[in-house]
Amino acid sequence: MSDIQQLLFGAIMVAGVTLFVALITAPFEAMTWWSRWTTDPRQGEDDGDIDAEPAETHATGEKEAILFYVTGIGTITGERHPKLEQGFIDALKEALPNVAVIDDFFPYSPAGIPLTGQRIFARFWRFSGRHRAFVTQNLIRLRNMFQVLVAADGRYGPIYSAGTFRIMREKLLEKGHGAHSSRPVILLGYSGGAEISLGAAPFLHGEFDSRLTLLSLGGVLSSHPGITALDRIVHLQGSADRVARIGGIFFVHRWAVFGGSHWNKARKRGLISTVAMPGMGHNGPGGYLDPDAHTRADGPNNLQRTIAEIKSVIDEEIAASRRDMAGA
Amino acid sequence: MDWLDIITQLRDMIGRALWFDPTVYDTATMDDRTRFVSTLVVFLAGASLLLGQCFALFLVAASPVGFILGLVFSGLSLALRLGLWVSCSVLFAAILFGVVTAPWNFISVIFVATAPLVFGFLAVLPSIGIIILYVLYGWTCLTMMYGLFYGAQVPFLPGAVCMLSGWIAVSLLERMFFARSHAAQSGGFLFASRQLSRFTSDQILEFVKQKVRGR
Repeated sequence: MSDIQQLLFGAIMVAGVTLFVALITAPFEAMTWWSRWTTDPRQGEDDGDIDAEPAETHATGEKEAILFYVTGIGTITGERHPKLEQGFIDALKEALPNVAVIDDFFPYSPAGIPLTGQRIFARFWRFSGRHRAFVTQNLIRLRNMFQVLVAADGRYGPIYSAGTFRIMREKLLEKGHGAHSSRPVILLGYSGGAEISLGAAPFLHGEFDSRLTLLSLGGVLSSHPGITALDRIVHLQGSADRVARIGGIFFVHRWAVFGGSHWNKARKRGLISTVAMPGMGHNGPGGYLDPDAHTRADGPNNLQRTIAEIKSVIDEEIAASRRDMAGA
Repeated sequence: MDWLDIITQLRDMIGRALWFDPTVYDTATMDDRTRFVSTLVVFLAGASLLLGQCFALFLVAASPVGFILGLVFSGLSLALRLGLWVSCSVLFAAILFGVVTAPWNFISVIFVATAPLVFGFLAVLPSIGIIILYVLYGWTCLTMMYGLFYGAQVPFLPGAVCMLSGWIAVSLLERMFFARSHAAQSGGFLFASRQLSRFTSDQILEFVKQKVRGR
């Protein structure tokens, strides 16, 4: 072996070992959070009273629904999003004046600590966030993807989701959504965020009476027991979106041969509907959120088409919620 | 006793068992030291299996002492169950076929054959860990069959009948013996290592939901 070959081999080995260590240690954030949370009575004291009637603020008092945005794997904090996603959220708020949008949730930490928060590698993640180069951007994605794998795992998933639920619940209470509120809650999960939303669904369903829907935007979804806690799942999938398609292959219980899986049972019951988005990819140029990409030269851009689909689902949910209330 | 030698022998034994070396299962060459090392293999396998399923220990918020005790208990219980299985199988061989043999050598063969489960800790890997665990179980099944029927020269059909009968007997014994501990969901490391690590994802979700509701 020449020196260059040896160097390359060494670099690949180091990268492989680092990846393996990152993957094998990924579940421990959720597990250590859980064991601390369950044993320390002081933790959770500030969670708020679910049964207390929420004070409806001016911002949410006249809103007809709550849209809970669960961001994709390219993010490092809940407050700041990648450029295309921020543009999407702004456009979404503009298009949906009757809907309260929650967009400051960081879903890739069960303890609710952003990557730039109190962490050993916080400085590194801050650097990565500032210098959005190819390598750093993919490192962020990889780290968050590992957390999606943790959330999708039947063993760690419930623990992870208990953590994310705690934060989601707090944010819903802040928006004036109480246990008996009638406004429908729509979880808009982009990419890996869809799986995180699915995990939190059984906990949210147990705590809130309102209608609960998952709107998956190119979501990577497993056959999670949380499916049964949702009133409906709408999956928007672009024809050029390879990530969402790989998700369907990787999570084997979604395969048609596993007829008894949660996913397939829900599909048979008509709970899951897929909306095809012709010509759209997962992210970046040509993706769901790209305002510069058009399928037809004279037609709307990708961002407008995505928002139009989301708006129609939300309108349907508001109408369904009204029907449910009238029927009750 | 030189522990460094034992560790070297342990590593060598695991390596040979993984690569289906028939000499590692040769009952004629087994001495007390080999039997001791084979017991270490199964102990490591049991502890590693629980390490792979350590979410159960975290789920009950086991203390550091409870965590270590859980691993020790898992290793010992695997050795005990396998030892009991082989003893029952040898008993069935005497009853059904009139073949009277001491169980010690066969116990060591089965213990050595658990070598693939030493990698049971890999089950920690999220989402793919369970698949790895099934592969390890399959590999162990093969090493056990290879060790018994090829390495230790046990005739296939009578051997298989005895091992199957032994397995049924042990399962029944286990059910009777652990019936009380099944009911007592203490929430401690014993419950985690014996019960919780075998729960389905639906059962784990229900367990977590109850804990969240209880806070």
